[in-house]
Amino acid sequence: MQIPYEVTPRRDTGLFNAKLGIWLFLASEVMLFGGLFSAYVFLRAGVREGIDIPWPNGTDVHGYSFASGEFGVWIGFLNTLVLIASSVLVVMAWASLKTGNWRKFQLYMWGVLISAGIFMVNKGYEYNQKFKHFGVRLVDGTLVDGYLVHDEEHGHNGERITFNASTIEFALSRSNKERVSTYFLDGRFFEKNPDATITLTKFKAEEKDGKFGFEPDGETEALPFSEVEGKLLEMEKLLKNEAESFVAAERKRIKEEAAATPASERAPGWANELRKKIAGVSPLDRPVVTGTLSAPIEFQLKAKDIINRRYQADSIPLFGGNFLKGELVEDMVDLEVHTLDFQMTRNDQESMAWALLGNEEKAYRDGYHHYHEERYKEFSKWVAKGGQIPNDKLRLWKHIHPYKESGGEDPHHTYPIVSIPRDQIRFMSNHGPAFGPYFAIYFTMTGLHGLHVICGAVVLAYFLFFGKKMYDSGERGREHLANRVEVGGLFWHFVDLVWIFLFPIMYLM
Amino acid sequence: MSAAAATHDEAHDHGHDDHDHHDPPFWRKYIFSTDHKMIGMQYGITGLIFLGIGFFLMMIMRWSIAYPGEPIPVLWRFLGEQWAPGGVVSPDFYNIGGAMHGTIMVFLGIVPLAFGAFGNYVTPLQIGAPDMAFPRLNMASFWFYFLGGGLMFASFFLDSGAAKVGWTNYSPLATTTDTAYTKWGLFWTGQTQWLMAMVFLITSSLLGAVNFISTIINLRAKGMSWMRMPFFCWAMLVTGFLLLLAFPPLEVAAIMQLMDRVAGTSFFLPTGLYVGGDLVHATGGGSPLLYQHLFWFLGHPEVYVLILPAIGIVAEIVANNTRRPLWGYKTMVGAVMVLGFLSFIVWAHHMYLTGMGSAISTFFQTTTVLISIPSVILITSLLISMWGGSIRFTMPMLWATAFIPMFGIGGLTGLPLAFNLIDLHLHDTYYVIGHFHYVVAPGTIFALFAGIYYWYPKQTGRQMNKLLGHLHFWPSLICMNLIFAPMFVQGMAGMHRRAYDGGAAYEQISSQVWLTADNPFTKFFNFIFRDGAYVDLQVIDLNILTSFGAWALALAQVPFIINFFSSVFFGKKTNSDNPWQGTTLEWSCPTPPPHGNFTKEPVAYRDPYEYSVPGADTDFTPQFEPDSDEAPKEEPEPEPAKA
Repeated sequence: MQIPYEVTPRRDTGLFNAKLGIWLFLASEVMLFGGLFSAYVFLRAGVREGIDIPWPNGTDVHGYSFASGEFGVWIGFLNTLVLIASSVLVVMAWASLKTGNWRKFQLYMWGVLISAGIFMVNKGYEYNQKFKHFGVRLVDGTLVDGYLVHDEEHGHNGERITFNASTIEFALSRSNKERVSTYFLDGRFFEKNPDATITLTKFKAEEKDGKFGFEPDGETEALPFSEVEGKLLEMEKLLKNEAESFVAAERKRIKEEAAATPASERAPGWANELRKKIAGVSPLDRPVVTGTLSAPIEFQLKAKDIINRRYQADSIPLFGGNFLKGELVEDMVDLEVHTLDFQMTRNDQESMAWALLGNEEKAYRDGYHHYHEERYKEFSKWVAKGGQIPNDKLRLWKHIHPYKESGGEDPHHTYPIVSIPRDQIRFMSNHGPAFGPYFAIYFTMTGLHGLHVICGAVVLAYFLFFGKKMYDSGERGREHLANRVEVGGLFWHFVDLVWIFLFPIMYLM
Repeated sequence: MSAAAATHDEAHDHGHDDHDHHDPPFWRKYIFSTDHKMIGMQYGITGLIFLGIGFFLMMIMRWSIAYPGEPIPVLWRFLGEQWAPGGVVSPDFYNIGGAMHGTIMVFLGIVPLAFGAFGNYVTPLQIGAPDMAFPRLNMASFWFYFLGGGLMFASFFLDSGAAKVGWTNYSPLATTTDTAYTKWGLFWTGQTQWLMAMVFLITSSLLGAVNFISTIINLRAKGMSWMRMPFFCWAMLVTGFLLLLAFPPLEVAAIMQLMDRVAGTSFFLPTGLYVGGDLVHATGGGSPLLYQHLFWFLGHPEVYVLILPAIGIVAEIVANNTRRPLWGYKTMVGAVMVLGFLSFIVWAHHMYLTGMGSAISTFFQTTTVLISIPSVILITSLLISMWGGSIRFTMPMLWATAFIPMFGIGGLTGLPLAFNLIDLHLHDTYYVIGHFHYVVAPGTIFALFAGIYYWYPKQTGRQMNKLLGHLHFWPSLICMNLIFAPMFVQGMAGMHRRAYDGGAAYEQISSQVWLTADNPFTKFFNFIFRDGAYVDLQVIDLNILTSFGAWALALAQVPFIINFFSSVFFGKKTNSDNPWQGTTLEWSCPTPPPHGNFTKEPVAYRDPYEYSVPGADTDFTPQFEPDSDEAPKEEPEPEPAKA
């Protein structure tokens, strides 16, 4: 069976199938990116001054100065040029096929693929820069921005959460077994204490006043950690069996009792009542098993291990319903500060950030004032004429880059390192998607666009590497391949077009 | 192969060859098939199974609604202590049931059946094409759907259960539900997997839409000009455009919500959001309203995706069984296009309660009222087509006839909802459920049944059993009304659609008396359900009526299931390729149609519904019957593309 108009266009529509298909597909792509662009406008226009975090200027996020080492705008610009060039190249590749020049087709198509490669490498560099960058928003709104200080020796990743645990509470449930193993027994927490042991409370199922419950029933002997998981599973199984046999026996008793009632004495709704009674005897919730450690153990934790970061000075909830009980020793974030940003601070002079800087506070305050004066001078002529400094400019002045220059032959900047206690932190994240609505939409849109680039490149590469057979199969095959390249090229143009919109709204505006 | 191979003649020669000489292996023919008919049937059977699952969920919910706090018979054993502690359906499972009933019915049941199954099977046959324009894409489309459906179904068995915040999945609730898991654990929650599954389903629909539109535009047979196209194909074309353009914004919403859940973004989370007394660890600055806009930009056209194929099916059956041309065919085509266009600018009538502002509400109120015009044109045309005709009440025609008033009730009860003043009262009440379900359940699903009975002989060569058909139809019709009519009463009394215990906890509303104890209906009701007690009928008591209606409806589907499978073997043989004496092209090809569909080149010589033409020998003059007086409208031979 041959589908008509696979290669030759239909007379009245002037289109071969794939070309019609790709235009329709592009229409849906327009709606897809249209939805995202609308979301961008909706989110940006919806920022409420003083309530939501401000929408940054693209140039400030990416930087355009080679001197400071931040030149993301130029990388974005380079990517724009690269994509435009590749769009031209894909047309040349198509034209070469149409004129029957396979060598040239190969050459141009390689150009397209290399362009796509350059684009993605640049993108990767850009992403990487952002993922390394870290920001901490204090509870008064001040943003302390910089890089986490890694402490390889103690295994800290910039965050220091030390918890001195004396007991661990394990939730007994079927689904918990992997989690126990993941969080406690893979050696991550316990390898430093190979000799420590743990004693678990034992339980037995008991009936009390017609209700079922679990009562503590002594303790296990001290177990090494490697045996805890097995023991927990054993307990879980045992308790489950006990509970189930309790339930089964009770249900049997109710049924027998009911069966003894003569049919004549059965009231309306009798069956319903009986069913309620039977179902009411439900299997029991398994109790929480407390494990007492032979000696308190110091845990080094990461915030992401802790369920919803909801922890207190004496207990840490871990995933799977398990808890560490004990004492929180320290809870700090170590940051090398590159920027202090007071846009969201009610009073920049009284910001909590100053106190964090310790001894050198005054020097940085002076720097901040100096920076303000400099900026003001830039605008003073304008102000002298009676003009006003635009609000967003004023807002942007509210940040400083605190650093000291070290002398010597190769002068470089040193930045202050601060330790921020957890209770002063409202939010922290790297400059990834979570860092704010701008970053969210930036990563979503450029990420989705990047996926389009990769998919497009894969399809075009397929034509380049596997198209020869079709090309050599005669007039029709050659035409067919040219059509395919044309369709792929149309998609490629669309990908380029999306970037041409993305670049200004993400990098410049 | 020469360039000329693309012409019709050669195409069909190939079709013949393939069929006669080399049958593809089993897995190519029945599983990874590229044949539009097989794909259509795959869609159909998968869709029917999901329809059953969605219905089953609803029956569990109906127990909990009718008998709040009472253990559910038999099923509590399967739900286990997590979802039915003490045998009583838990609020969480009730919520899962609600969310998944909606999702499964809309995205996994009706759209695949209406668009995927009937569209795939019938459209190429009706326009005289050997297959869809992109057969392999068609297969991919089905398998994406299957993957999405499988994932959606599998999410029931996750620790967290399936998605549970309503089929609309509104943020911020959807973002902050079930977050007590590890990073990977969070990914493997029902709420996240709902989004993943939706991405697959949307991809499937997009590929399907591209395929349908391309097929209809480019693969029409010789002589099949636009105005000779059966109305069903027009409906599919417009539906295709709705899917193509409306689904991407939902994909955007799904991607953004996915980012909110797993990457910690705040697209839909406002600043300063507290959940359970804790400040959410997110930057905020997002907009919950944005989600609703994106969702309903899909959501409303989606309703027409559900209903247009149904109207298409009914139009075919009405024309065939009244033995008259469709009245106002061209007007109907115009109406369906206007309907398609307008459906894109009415979405915010779902959001009157969000406080968008009265100017916006007024705009959407106006467009919403406007959209009733083309809808009424369609239904009126169908009615006038039937007016004065000597109607053959065949099995499909019964369903099609019932469709019209049922859809009418659904449509007309929608009008009050269009006005934002009235909507403030009715919003999120059972009234809305009643309205929507009248459109889709006795509306679309009846049309789908009509379609199954109508095209069944084309595939199997046998008719479905008539007795079983009647046993299916009449109870279904009665039960559908038993289920949905009381909802209008409850809704107007103010009962909320999502109350877990069927509204028992909201006594001021649910205990309102609808009919006093003296009313004969109340007496009848009490006689049946309450041992003849002399008590008033409160609006909450209607839950019992509705629930029994639902369970009876389930029983009414048993004859259909038996009929559907047994008629393949025992049904009455048709002994003809055109058992209904239809006029459209699908009746010209062999039964069942081979791979490639037509044994000789199909040509459309005339309009699609030439029934009872004065002076003709029979009361139907098929499109494919050459007429010696009238030369076929020549379509110029396609030219090879310029090199």
